[in-house]
Amino acid sequence: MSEVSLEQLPIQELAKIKSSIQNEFESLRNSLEQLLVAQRKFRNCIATAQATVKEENNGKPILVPLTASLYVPGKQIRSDKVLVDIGTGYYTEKTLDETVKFYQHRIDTLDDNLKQLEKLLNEKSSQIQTLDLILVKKLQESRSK
Amino acid sequence: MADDRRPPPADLQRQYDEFKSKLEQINLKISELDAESADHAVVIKTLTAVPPDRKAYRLIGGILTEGTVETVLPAVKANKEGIEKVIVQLKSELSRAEKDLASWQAKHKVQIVRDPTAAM
Amino acid sequence: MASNDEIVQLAKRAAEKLRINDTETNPRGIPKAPFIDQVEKFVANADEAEAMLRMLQSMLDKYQSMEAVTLQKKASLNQRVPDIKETLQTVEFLKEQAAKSKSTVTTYELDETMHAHAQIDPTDAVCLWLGANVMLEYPIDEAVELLTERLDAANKNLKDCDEDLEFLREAITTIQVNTARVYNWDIQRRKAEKSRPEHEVVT
Repeated sequence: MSEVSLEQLPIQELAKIKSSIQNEFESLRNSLEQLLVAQRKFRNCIATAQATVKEENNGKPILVPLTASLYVPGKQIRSDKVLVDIGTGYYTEKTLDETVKFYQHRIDTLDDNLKQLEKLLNEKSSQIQTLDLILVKKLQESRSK
Repeated sequence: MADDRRPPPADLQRQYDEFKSKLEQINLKISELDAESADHAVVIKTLTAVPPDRKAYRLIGGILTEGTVETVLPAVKANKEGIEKVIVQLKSELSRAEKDLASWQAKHKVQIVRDPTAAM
Repeated sequence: MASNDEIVQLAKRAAEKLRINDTETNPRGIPKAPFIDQVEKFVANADEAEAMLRMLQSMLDKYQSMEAVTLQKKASLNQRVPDIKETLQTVEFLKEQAAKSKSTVTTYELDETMHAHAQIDPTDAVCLWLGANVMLEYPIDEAVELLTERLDAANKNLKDCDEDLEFLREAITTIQVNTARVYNWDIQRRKAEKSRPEHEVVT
């Protein structure tokens, strides 16, 4: 989008373009939010795993959630491993180290996506600034006529 | 004899929309709290029908604490009272917002018309 | 043209004519919508027509808002019933296990994508969420009784909701038909007045 061609457009056109870029910006921002939320969840999983997946927790009493409203007294067993959803509903048993690696890898992949999104957001933001400058200039010109 | 201070129709529509949206927000909050209060009432009823030394648990800020019906019941009642107080405040906020809308309507002589294209 | 107050008065009289207050109601107290079979019986001129239309509109609004509330109730019940069923079945299973002195090995959710193993030894008590952040321990038999009661109540409420929704649909259609007929009657009336000889003055 070269500035020369932008300057030649009428105010209405510019306003339309600005509004469409603002919409893109908003939806990119939403995607960014979602990725951050996902990362937070994965970090939570790591913390939970580090607190519970230990050999010494075997036999410890817990309140087991069996349904959304039912909890039953029970005890931890096979506490050195945990079942992780690796996608499409498949679960595999993992040790603490494997679990932490698994979620960390997911977090790192999201980091790459986040960097790309941030770059795009900055581009859109500066495009909007450019448009704003041109719009202000044009409004002043039309007022002084 | 036009009222020179009368804002243009587009502004009036926007102001009306703002009033409407504020009223809706308050109403929504009130129904949410009403539902919570009703939930608390049911819980209180259930707890009162059970021996006071029964084991009961309360979830506070993500931490589950063990207690008995005797210790948990007063907390639930206190919670419910708190919710009712907020409902009362919201209701008075609602009537203030309604008065604001009414006086705005009178001041600008606005007539609220139903959208003729909306399904009958 | 009548003033707003006069229209309101006319609307009140229209309601009386339609005998709105002594119509039948359904088991939950929703009034049945009266049907306007002959418009001329209830409406005589332009002002009465407008009053009637306004009254019908306000009845329509009430019915539609009742419909929205009932739909919400139904949606929330539909959400809760599966959980109550599942909880009841699980408790009954645990009861059987306890009777056979058997332990249950199961997995439970530690976090959204993580499950861990647990063992549940024969127990005589379970904990049920009551809501309002409160959980209560119940002897297993009492839990079965309570959950069965809850399930039956929820199912009955669902049935009532469906009945109400059908009743409301009928009422809404009746009011819409009434509105169309009054409206058309009024249009006919205007046409008839227009075709009157010019020297006659119409109020």
